Amino acid sequence: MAQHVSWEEARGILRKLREEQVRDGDLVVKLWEDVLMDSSHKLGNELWNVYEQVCIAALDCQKLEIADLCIEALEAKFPNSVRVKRLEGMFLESEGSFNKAIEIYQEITEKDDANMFAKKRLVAILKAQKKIPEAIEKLNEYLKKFMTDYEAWNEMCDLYLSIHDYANASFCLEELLMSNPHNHLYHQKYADIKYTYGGTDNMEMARSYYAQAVKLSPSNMRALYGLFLSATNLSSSSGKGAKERSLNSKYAAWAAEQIATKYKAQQPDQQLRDTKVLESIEKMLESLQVAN
Amino acid sequence: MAELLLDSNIRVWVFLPIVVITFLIGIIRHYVTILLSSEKKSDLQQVADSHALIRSRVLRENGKYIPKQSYLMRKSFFNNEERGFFKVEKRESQAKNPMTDPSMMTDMMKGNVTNVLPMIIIGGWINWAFSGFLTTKVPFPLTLRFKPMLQRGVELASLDASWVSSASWYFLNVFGLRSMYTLILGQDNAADQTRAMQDQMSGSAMMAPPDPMKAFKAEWEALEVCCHEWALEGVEEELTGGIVQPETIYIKNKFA
Repeated sequence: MAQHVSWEEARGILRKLREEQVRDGDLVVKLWEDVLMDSSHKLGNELWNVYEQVCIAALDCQKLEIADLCIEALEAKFPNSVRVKRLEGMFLESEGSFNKAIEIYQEITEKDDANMFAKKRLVAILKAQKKIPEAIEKLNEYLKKFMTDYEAWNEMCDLYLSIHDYANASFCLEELLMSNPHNHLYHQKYADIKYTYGGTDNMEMARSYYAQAVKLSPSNMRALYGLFLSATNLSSSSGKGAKERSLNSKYAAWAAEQIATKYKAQQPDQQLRDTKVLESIEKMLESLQVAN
Repeated sequence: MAELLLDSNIRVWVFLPIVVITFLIGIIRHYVTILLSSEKKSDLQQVADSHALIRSRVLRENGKYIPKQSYLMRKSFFNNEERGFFKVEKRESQAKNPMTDPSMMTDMMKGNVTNVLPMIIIGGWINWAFSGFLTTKVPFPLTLRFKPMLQRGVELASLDASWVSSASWYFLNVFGLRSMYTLILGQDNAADQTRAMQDQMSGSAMMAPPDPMKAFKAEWEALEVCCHEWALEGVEEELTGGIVQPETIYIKNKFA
């Protein structure tokens, strides 16, 4: 970080991070300690928002004493606030005393039935305790009520992936796909899941979604590789007509060519020779042509 | 027409007091609103309903990006004749009479106490205390149409339209001090009367929450007629079929 960040700059950075909901705990804590802390009174009413922000950042960095200070200050200002309660709960979580944290969150949900935050924290605690099935159950309950919380769908997808439940994971990712059909990473991840799931139909699905991801973002290497692999796989699979197979090998060849050009453009010759990327791709392509 | 000359006492005892009074009242209003405002609690059922409606809308709009089977699965979740969400869920009509719901009554009263009452009282008082003065002149000529706006309380047919009367000066202040409030009280302050007035005009302050059953019915219909056309059909062909990727068109000579 730059040596001298002026007070105004620091305030501006924190504001921007808050608005864009960037989670960069390190930066926030550093700015707070180095620049803002000594003249925090100058912030005026913004101070409380900054306290909240710094508190969460400090918890992310395991700097519990800073978080504690923030919570104390907020507690003194807003004694009955739900928002301060939730910070307390997160503090307890980071200390590892989950039961106390659960108590706090349950208190919040009793008071305010529609508090999404506390409910999600309860899921997060279960996840931290490695009780994945319970976490999934709880998150399911939550998603029945809050169907358009895409953050939660994403989390659900990851939870299902962690127990290798690909069918359900792909369902969650379909929700994400619909939420933002222009995000190539969703397409790529969906294809990844389908590819892992296996089977000809799923492989075809994976190929299509990899292709869509490449279409949306031509520089997505993972998707290019995915397209290459899924097309290779399909072209060598039996049970498909010759036409299908030749089409698939065409796709594979196209993807291989793209990958090769990307590597040539990005890496110096020496590195190319060392990593042997091009050769291995070439080899796969050759084997493809032999198979046909 | 001969130029009018205003008494300098008008400046000290009418022009400036009106500015100061409207400004201070705005500040007071801000704090009174904060004091009186009650936190709005959202009902879980209502939140869940709106989430379901949004999800169904998203399905209609972007359903083409997911495979057909997945689309049909979701459609059946919402629209299935026996078990569909929109068929099974029954909600009581929310269109309550505001008179029977005490919490809504107090909300309405608070709104009135902070918005309408001061408007009437202060406006009336200003009209009574400072009526009949010309306070200032706008430095540009105006057409006659502006006379009723700028010269309220001073009905003189021969007066040039760019003169501003005291009552109109008050109204100009009410609307014009908005940016001052944002400067002093920060964004989203409650001192701004114009927003409250807009609310009242569009009637949103009085509007009852919409009936979920009706919304469900409409969404059910919309989803029923919606059919699935996979957007990714033939995407590989499109990608590999010789269509030049944008990257190669635009950044071709980037380093040349």
